[in-house]
Amino acid sequence: MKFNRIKALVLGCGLLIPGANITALDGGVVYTYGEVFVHRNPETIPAEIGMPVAEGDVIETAEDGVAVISLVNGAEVKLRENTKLSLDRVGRRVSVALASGSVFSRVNRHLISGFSVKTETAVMGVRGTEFFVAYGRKIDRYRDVWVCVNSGSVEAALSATNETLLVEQGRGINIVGGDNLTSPQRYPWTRKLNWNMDPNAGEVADRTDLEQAYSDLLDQDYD
Amino acid sequence: MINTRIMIITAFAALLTSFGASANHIPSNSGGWFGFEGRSTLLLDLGRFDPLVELEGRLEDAGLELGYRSLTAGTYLRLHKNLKAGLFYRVQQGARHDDDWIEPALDEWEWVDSGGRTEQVLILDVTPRFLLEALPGGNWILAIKNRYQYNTFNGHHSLMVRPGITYFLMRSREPLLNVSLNYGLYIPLNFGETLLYEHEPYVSVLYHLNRSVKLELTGAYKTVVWSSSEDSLANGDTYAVRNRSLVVGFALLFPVSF
Repeated sequence: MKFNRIKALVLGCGLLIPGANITALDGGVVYTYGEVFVHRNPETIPAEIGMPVAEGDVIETAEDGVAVISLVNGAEVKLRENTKLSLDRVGRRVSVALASGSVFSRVNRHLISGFSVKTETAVMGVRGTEFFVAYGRKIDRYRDVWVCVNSGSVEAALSATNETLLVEQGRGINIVGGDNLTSPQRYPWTRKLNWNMDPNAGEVADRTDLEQAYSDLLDQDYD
Repeated sequence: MINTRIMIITAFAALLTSFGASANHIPSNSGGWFGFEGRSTLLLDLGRFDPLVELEGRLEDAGLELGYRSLTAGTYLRLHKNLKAGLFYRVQQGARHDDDWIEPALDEWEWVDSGGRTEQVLILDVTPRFLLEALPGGNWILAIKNRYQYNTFNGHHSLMVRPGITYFLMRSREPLLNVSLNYGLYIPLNFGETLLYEHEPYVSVLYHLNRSVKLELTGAYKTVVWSSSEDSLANGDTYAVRNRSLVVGFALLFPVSF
């Protein structure tokens, strides 16, 4: 309930506070923890709850930071620590670009006609409602990208080859080195992801160790 | 002249008889030159704790009959990124020990049939492991498995030290195949007359069929050292005889993550 009030407040603030480059309300910061910044050329502003955000803004979380951003009241994104996310397009269609770190997305398809998360090597288009995208290790030329779908489905498309793959609810993939889509499967480590974006419903920060996504060769026992 | 010949023949015959009798007192290559072992293991991943249950059986002796079999249960605990410890309980049948070489009748020596004899073994495992990133491919693990074992049946304390190196062939960031080369050294702590009662170079190839099923093929060139049994000592004989055999193994592993 409180969370909805915050959202309403954000909407209200967006209408009342004219941002330098904001021509319409695109969204707002609904939760922060630790250091969170909004890069809005040429300024970098510490993010606060209730602060409006707009197309072109880049949201950045520091080592201990968490942020939940509401976008046009039809989508929410939660940035984990050390994450940089740019709001490339905000409207009926939403496109965000993940430069580093990891992000949870929750999309209301009734209010938004299209939602995508771009990484350096792929684009994840939402057909469902809730999914997670994270950069992994850089072993090859490009970083790995992990995708996990909590509900609905997501179409992952490689930027270089346009190869696509549909990832259904409960499954995940790894875009290995940016050019290899693995078969969707249930990764045990994704069970511990914290999908909650509502501070009133409990802990918002996700503390899952993403290194678990990789096989720990020092933890292999066979006899 | 004839007497001399008779004396020589008699002495030669006595010598042969003596050798024959002496050989009877020494354990034969009881396991044959070839053996086969199979095992199946359920491995659970509960975070720091990794419990396991393992069934093992060996076809041995000249007729490749089911001899040794065991059921092991316990858990590994990850103490540090590079160190795991384990505590296990094993119940086994068909195990063969030095004192199982007996003389049931005068000049008749044989191995005790231990197939129906149940033994319990407590095992403490400490295994440090290191990632050898400098080696080609970077997916090499050096591990030194150390296992202290206490057999409640005969009070034997022993130590297994098995240094080994494993290469992991990865596909899509997950192990597809790993090849290990190990050398197992078995040290008796309160029995036997030699530093090692068993040692073996040991190679294994493990294929990761999927996350839940893994298949392993192993080969070991095993040397077992049999030291004087109680019966042979009572007979005034001492020995330390080596039996060598090639043992091929197959394992089915079922890891489960929670």
